[in-house]
Amino acid sequence: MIRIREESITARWFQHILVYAFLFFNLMPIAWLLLSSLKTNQEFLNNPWSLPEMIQWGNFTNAWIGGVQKYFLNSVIVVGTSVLLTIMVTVPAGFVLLRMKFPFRKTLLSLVLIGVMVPGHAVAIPLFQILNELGVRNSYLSMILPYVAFAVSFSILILSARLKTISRELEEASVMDGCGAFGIFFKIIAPLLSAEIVTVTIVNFIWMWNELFFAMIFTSSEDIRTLPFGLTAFVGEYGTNWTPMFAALVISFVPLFVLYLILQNKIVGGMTAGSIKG
Amino acid sequence: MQKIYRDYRAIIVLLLPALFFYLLFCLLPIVESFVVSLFRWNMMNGKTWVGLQNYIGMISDDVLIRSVKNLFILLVVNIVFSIPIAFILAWLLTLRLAGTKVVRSMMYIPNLLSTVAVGTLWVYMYHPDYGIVNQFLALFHIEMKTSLLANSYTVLPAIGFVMAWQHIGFYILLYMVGMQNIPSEISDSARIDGVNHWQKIRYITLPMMRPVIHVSLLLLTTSAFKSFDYVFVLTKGGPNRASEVLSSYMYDVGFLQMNMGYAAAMGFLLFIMCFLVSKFISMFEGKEEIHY
Repeated sequence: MIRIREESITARWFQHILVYAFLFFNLMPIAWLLLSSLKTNQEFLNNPWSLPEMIQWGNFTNAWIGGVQKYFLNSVIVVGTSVLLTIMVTVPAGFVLLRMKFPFRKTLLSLVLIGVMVPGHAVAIPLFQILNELGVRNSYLSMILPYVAFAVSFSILILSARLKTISRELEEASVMDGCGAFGIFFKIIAPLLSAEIVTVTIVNFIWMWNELFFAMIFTSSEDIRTLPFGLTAFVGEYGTNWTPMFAALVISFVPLFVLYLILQNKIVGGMTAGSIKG
Repeated sequence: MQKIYRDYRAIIVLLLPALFFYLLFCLLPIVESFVVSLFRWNMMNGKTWVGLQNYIGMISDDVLIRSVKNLFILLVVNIVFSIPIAFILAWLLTLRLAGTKVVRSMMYIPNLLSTVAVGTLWVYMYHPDYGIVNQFLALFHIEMKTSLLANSYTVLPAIGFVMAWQHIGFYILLYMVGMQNIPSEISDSARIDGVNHWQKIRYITLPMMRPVIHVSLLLLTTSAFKSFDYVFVLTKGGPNRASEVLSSYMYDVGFLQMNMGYAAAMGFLLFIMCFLVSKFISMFEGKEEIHY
């Protein structure tokens, strides 16, 4: 055991002050949003930095009835479908690209991974055209299709880190038991990927839940708007009526926050490990 | 055994769905954006072939040149605000600290906010009358009469700062993972040799962290190229186009002015630049393999 050098008391104080000052600064805007969403608008305009005198849950019901309800449901439908589809297509594809043998496998894999570097904005116009020709523009599909497409690369990247490490012997043993390629995938590989599948699900859920650009240009009718796009309109409409608007923003944040509280180790571990190994 | 790995039926059935999505809605649009960029097209009438005219036109388009420049300024601002602070914080957090766990899990929270929420929040933080930023600057005798977002000199750093604010928690965690992956024998033997903190950071932590710093640079680059959302919610490209970036200008030209050919050319340029800058950064990574 190596003796840990005793830090001077001042250095330790300094360290703690820096870290907690940073944390305060980092979270203060969010705390402010939360507190403001619980005030009356008048109270907020008079003193934007005070604590709420009386907690105004009414802001939340107003926001919910005033449109958030519809956007929320749309988000659940679009994001839920996209996340599920992404898992259903990328897990088998990752298996084929990393474990099976066929000509140009490596080329295809690097072609698939290029997608990590494609900014969605860059292809907005042709994508608009393609969705238009397929007749799905201004529908849930006009968001779902691009979301899944843009999730493929990053998801396979995260899955590949684990797929590379699974030993061939496991597969060989299952072949002895009479498994074919499908058997190997469903009985051996897919169960071993469960941790990565959780990571991929959460990571995709977070970005799709907050996605604004595609939703904004591929949909026009108010009925199918998801939360981010719906709230941009909301922000404009409510203009000076700040506090219900803040409540709407808080509502849209709640699902991700809850998800984070439950699965934070998986999220943080998955994100950081995914980027380093990738 | 080998035969099973070459089961083409399984390969096709398991691979095709993902390829369908990826090829049709991600790769094909890249090719298509180049094709569209060779035409003049307003979405309503037929396309007119103009060859490379849309690309040649870029040279004399001041707004376009400015929006490319702004993109790189935003990237640099983002790097300057993110990397040094994230590095220092990560280092402070790997030392003994009361409440490390709580700090670590709370730091990531801003990453979960939607850009719309971040935008609304920071428009208010920068507000000249109510916002806290101008009051904070006043403490240092920097008197601002307008929002930093309304001043063409400060608007880009102000946007970059918001981007850095939202994502810094992630980079701190990334660096912490990197620092914890440094083999403990190295720091132990350094300690025995009587190396002090500064020497340790300079000669052990920094060089060992190079691959992780490269990863963070790559991620910061791609996020700067995706900066449309921030510009859109904070300034819509203003004041007077001072914060226009390539993607926001593309949105303007394509979907508001209906000049699809030119906008597609910008989209293709955006893709090429993102690709080249990422390649440029990864080039260095390969050469600096760490041996120990």
